[in-house]
Amino acid sequence: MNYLIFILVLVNILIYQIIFTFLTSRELVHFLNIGQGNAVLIKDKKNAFLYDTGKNNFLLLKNLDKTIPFYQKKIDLLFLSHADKDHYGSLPEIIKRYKVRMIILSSLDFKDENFNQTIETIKKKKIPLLVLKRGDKISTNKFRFFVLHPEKKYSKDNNNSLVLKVIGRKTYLLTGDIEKEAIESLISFHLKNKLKYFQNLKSDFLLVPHHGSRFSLNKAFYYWVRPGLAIIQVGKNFYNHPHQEVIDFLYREKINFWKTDQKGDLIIYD
Amino acid sequence: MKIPDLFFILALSFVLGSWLEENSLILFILLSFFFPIALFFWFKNFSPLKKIIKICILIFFLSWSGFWYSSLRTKTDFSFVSLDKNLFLKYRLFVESKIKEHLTFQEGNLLKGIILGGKFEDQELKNKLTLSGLSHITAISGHNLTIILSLVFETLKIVGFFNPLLLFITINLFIFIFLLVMDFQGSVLRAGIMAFFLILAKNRWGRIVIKRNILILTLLIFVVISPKLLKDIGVQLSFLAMTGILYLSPIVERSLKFEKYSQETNFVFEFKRFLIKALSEIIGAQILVLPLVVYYFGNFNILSFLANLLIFPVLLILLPLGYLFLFFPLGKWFSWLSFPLLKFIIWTADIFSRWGIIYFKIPLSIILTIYFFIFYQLYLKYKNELPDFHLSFS
Repeated sequence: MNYLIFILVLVNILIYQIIFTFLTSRELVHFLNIGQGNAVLIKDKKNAFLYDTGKNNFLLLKNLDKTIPFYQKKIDLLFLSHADKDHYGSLPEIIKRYKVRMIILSSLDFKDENFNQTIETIKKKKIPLLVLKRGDKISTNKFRFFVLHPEKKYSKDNNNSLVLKVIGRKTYLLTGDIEKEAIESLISFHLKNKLKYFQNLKSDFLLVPHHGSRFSLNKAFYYWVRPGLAIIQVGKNFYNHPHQEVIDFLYREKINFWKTDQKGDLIIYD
Repeated sequence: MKIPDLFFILALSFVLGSWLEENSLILFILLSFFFPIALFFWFKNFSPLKKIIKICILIFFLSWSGFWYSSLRTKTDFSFVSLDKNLFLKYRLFVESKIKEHLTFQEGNLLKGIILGGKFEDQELKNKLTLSGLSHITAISGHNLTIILSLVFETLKIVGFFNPLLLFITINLFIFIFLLVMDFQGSVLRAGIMAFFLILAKNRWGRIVIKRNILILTLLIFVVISPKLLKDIGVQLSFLAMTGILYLSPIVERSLKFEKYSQETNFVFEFKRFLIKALSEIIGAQILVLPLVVYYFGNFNILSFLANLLIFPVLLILLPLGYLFLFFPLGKWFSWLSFPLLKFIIWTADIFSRWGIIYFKIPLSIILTIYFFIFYQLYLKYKNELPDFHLSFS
């Protein structure tokens, strides 16, 4: 009898182990609910990629713990869209706590002083920095990343942000804080290569540019992207994001959207 | 207790309480002085010269504290060596960074609180711990010091280190290093001073130890260093818990009616005895601490006792493990060992922070009455205190 109980307990543990590994090993794209700021975690069995790090609060770290277990604390590629506090804010904490393999930027000369300081600490830690431009492509075993945006240097920092098209089984378009000029250049680039799978804008999931700001609303952009779901990653802020115009537009065009401050985390199993 | 006495105490405490409602520091000085002063004046076996000397010391002590309190406006700062030169603080930072690398956010925070103390980054977890009545595990106190010292003792025994003078010096050196690493937090300072005097009196001079003398001496040293230290809630709770362990827990232990001594000594019996002792210490400390906790935080958890019992065996494993990690912060083995234990603590805090919380405010006068009552009872009980040979510095 005792043996039976022992064996049952062991089997139970094994089953839970299997379920646990099954749950954690699936490829997923996780839009984190971290207040104001962008942070998207892309993860497969072995690798983890992070797009932006959100503001400097500990919500990001807590949320990352849900999907990255303690025995696998590493981030293979960290994409930073541009030097804005709600995009690179918790980068210093991330560097302390995770083993970051490589950091990818759109350019290295930003005006923000805090950002430059963090860049120096990164250089001290000997984490390689890589600057990518339009047309560059990174492919891993499950996901492919295509850099769509900064083809030249814009005067406004927001327009220099890195725009990624992530391609797994579904496609994701991660826009940083891009505004009018950048969106127009994206559309013109799209019209040149409409039929190329990598270069065009069409994608299933869209991270709404600039947290749903009024100034980055472009009807043609939404027309060419045709997202199945638009994600507005936003929290409490002074800028009145997301703007009512954008929400009305999404309603009118019958595009489903997901506001992270109301609905919480969004995990998409790819 | 006679009825007129009770009325007198009630009246006094009501007057004091309504007067001192705002300034809790003076309250605590009075509270902590009531017990020693009472013991002092009723202790009649001294010669007149000794009495005069003691009264002089007391007056000096009180005036000194008043002087300090009126003159000191700035916060007392013990980090007399700057961070770049203080090797031990650097070591502390190194251990913290190692914890951050190898553990997840909440668990790492909890572990840091358990073995190093200091500021708590995760506010949510802190609230959960305070609501479930477990926040004392994140405060460094004598318990941690005993574990470290016993680890040191054991290793020295294995090495074969028996010279008594050298043993005394190394142990005190370890206490000092521990204080440096812990950045002189109040409760650790209390434990360190008490441990120092205990070892000095018992092992070096071979004297008989009376508990209250050591307690009063540490209080005196605290006031001489700076009475502002007593404003720290941790220090107040630490002193109260210590008096609870020293004076209340023997009563609790007797009331549990466990036969302390038996002819045969087997492992189970020893373990049982250890458990009973720990239980009575928890109860004794909790009873004395509870009114002040209610006064400061405005709530307390009925089930906190249960939560403490659940966590107790986990802490038994976790604390020595954590201090091993403090000595050898090497790497991943530790996170594998400690993660389930830390997770268990977080779960219990999560569950008990939802259940059994009572919110209420008690005015200061009633709390003062309760303390006066308890201290008076203790005074009656321990009027003719005998020296204790089995005293440990937990």
